[in-house]
Amino acid sequence: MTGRLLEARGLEKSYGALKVTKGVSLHVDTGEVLAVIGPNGAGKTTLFKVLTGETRLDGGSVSFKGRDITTMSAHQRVRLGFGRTFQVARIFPEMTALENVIVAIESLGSAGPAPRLRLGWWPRREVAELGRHYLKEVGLDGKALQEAGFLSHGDKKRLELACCLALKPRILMLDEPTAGMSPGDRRQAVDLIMRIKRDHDLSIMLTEHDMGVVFGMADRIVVLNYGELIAEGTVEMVRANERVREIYLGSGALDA
Amino acid sequence: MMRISLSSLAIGLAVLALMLALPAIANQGVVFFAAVTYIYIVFAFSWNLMFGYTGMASFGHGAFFAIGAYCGGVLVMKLPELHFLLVLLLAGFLGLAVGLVVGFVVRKSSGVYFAILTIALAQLVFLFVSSSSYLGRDDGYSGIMPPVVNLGVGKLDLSNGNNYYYFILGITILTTAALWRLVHGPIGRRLRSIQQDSQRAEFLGVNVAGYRILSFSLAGMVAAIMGALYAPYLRIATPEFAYFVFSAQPVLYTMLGGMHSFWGPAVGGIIFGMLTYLTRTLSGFSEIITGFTLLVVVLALPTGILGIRSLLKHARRSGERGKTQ
Repeated sequence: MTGRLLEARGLEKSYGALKVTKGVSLHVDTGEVLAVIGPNGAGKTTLFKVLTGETRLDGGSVSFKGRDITTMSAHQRVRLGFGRTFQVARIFPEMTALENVIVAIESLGSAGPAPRLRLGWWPRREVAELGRHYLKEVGLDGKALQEAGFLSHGDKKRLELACCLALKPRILMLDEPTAGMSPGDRRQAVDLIMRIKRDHDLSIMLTEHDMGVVFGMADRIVVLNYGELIAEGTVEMVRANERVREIYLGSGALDA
Repeated sequence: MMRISLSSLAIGLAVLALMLALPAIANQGVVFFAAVTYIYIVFAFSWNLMFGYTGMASFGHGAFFAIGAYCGGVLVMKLPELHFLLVLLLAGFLGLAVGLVVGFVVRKSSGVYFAILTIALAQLVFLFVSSSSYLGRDDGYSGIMPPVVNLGVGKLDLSNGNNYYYFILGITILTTAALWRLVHGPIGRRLRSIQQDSQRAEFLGVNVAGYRILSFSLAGMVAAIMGALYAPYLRIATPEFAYFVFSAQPVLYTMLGGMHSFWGPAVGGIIFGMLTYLTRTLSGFSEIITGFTLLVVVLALPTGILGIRSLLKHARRSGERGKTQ
């Protein structure tokens, strides 16, 4: 299955006088993993924000599944098939892990329409079961009733993934999925993400500082520098690119 | 998921029994004071729907109480044949409508900006009712007579005996039940998700702006119903309801009782009410004692009196964790 899933043309975004994104165009094909890399301040996070609808674009257009979504709000994009995780995992700390997932399930209505009149206030059995199913998929089945704020850093990231899965996404937008993890945890996280991608037939767009993770996951890479797209291609092409080597010169990152 | 425990059921029944028996065991002053406290408590519940559940701190919630009080008072006086339950409902709808319009305007404002806009709303209502001669200007809309309610099986004259007390008890319990059901269902879960992390909620498909408007306008609706219930009891609707001191009351109840618990404002309201009642003869001292209590509670228990429970729970849990590690 191939075809353009997400396509962005001529993205422009400035904060005041500062131009953060300068006419960036990129696309994600169905089933593909696209990594966006670049030094700090290159505009990766801003790119994520405009693609997911968190902030408005100043210029350019975004389309998803052939539909123009440039002016669509974030929650509407979620309903179309966007799942997003954050650099620092964001969950609802005062709810249980299961309740976190239930919020996502209920917002999508994916457990089927609720009966019109219901006196009970606890989640319907189908909703709770579906929630436990997603938790199991990320390996959190033993912690369903734990308050999410008390989960470990890695488990919070897993919970975030479970919440995203509950949205039945077509594309996962992962902002530094392994930030702040130990090397061992990183490998586990990458394995988990790739397994979920396979099982759910997803596309992924991610940013990441760890080149090992990038080279391990990405089918294709785009490189941003000062808000401009300076290189694009397969892992090998980008590693060999002169300008990219210049930016990362001496850091040894590309030889990972 | 969440079921009602036996102990909370027992507490609930005991409180209900006490409220039902109150006119038989206490004097008229206490009964009047209790009924007023019930109304204030539900008013505070509605405020906490915004604050504790959705994370919106309004300092002008009295605007809606005033809107309801004047609407109820005028309807009772000008259209005496209108059923009082319908009057309450109409006042509620007026509160809801104002809430929808204002909520739409302020939907993207949060924190201090939202707070200031709500203060502005209350000021606007205050200026409007205190300068309208139809509504009695600064003196308020007075002489409102408690209506006669046709209950189908018979007529209940609210100006007789303890009828109004029981009527207030019934309406406040019904409203409380509706609010309780609302916040413990899917909508409440969505509101809580917005309170805890609005951006995460948005990215889980929750229409954050929409639910903020909903929370704001439902709170306005409940506050307006309480205002309409209150005015004929007091026999007056005054601009004071829209004054910021009045709007601060639900804030105090909630701070005292606990904002992350549904029953927090009720606990706060009862303690606040008892303090006010017990110190009513100590002129000047009353405010000092109430203020001091509030200060102690806020400093010692930032999550309010009911917050003790979750503090204990967390302490126990981290204790367990310490043992296993």
